[in-house]
Amino acid sequence: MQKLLRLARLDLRMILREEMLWFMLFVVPALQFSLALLLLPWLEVQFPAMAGYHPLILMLMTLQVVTSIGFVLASMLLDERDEQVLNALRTMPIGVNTFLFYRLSTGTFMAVVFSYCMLSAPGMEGLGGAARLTAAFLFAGAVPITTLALTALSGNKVEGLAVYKALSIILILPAGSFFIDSWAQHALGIIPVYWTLHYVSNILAGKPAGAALLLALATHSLALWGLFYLFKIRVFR
Amino acid sequence: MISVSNLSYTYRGAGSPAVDGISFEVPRGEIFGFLGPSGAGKSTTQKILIRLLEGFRGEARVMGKPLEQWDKSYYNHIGVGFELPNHFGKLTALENLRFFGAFYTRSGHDPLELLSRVGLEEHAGKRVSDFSKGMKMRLNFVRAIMHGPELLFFDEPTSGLDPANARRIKDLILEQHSQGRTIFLTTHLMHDADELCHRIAFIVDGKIALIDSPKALKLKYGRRLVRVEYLNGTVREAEFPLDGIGNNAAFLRLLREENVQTIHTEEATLDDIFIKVTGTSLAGTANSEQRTANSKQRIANSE
Repeated sequence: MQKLLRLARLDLRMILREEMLWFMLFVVPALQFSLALLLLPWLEVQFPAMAGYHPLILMLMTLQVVTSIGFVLASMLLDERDEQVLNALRTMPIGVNTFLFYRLSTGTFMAVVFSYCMLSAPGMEGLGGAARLTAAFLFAGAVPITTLALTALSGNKVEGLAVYKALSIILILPAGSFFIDSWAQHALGIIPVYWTLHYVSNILAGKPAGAALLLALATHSLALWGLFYLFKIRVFR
Repeated sequence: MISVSNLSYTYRGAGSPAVDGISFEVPRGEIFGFLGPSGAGKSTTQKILIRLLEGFRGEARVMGKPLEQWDKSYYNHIGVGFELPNHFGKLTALENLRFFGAFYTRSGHDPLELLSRVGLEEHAGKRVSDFSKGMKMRLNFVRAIMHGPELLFFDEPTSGLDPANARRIKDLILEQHSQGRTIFLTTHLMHDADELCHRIAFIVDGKIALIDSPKALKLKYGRRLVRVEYLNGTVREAEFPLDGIGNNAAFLRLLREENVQTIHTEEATLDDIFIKVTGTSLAGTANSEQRTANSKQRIANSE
């Protein structure tokens, strides 16, 4: 536990020493909360057609919050990869896998808290406590996916920013399924977020959500396994 | 301490092995030098021994236990000084040492004291990203020794250091040895190896060409000659057999009658021996090769 606290303190120091990182970790979520609580209700009054998509918009904002956490973690890992720190960690009793697990689980835990708060915004009352927590965990699953994808696919932080933008677009693509009334929408199910969105949407609509939950867990696990494999190849070979 | 038998390693996609059936032993308390040009297999061997590379063939035992049987506790017993700096750039030197030091189960040295030993005490609170390469290398060194491991691996520990700081690091290596530690030193700097190592291994193309002590090698491959440089219009040279030098009339006449500039015995350098044994040269040995060629041209004055 002491080691974890020491790591967390160190990570916080590093984040606070880089403007972009603290902006993405603290300012972006705060902005999203403000938008969800203040701007979104006002916009729905101005443009009533938006009200029907309130849960979807909130879910996409939640996704934005969690991917920004993933971006912060990936930026730190990219720096550490460039600085060869990951290699140094491989020759320490902690090992790099434990370090990576700590990083990803800390970020995921933060994302669970942030997602839970976002999904508690007005208009999401239909979720209930247990389903909200489950949904928060599912959304938080985008953190390790974003972190591993960015670290494995980027050569440096500038490339990381470009990959982040591309990944953000890919992750919101499943939102398109709410506008497609065809079986073809399930093709978007290869993106794990698709099942997260449909899990929440089904619960809000009073439909069975068990299958969506199982598929969300399966696709997230598969994506994480593949990305971790890619990460190990790209970073350590 | 280290026992390697018929060790081979081939990188994925490579046509030939980077390490090809090497065997050697390093007893406890020895400074063992692993010497060779870039790409010879030195760093690959070290990476295997510090468990960064898996999938090797042959056997490697450290502290009596096969490498594969060690778990993460292995790293409590060894210290690794990498060839390239590797620290958190956004953290200070002291923060880095405290962070890394926290993961070891054994109590180590005071990081501030060690920083002062390598001349970094004034920079302890400075971010590592603002360090020069030489400063980062010194910090690398400190991190390797701070938990007091029994076995130390150093890969080019004086790389990027000015002579004064290289001296500090070499003195610290000798101090670690005097405290009973075993040191596996990888370098292409023959002078460092000559000064520090009890035994050295020459490795070329993944194979060990020779293992012996620097002193024994120099005796075996050296020429028992005395070379005299003297001024007679221009600088001239003459060589005399070392045996019986006190009765060599030509030598004594030269000392009496000429304006002698320098007198040296012609011991072989490790550079010369390396070239002789392996047929190849190390980076930065052009001068040495030239010297060897020149000496062959000279006519030994064996009166």
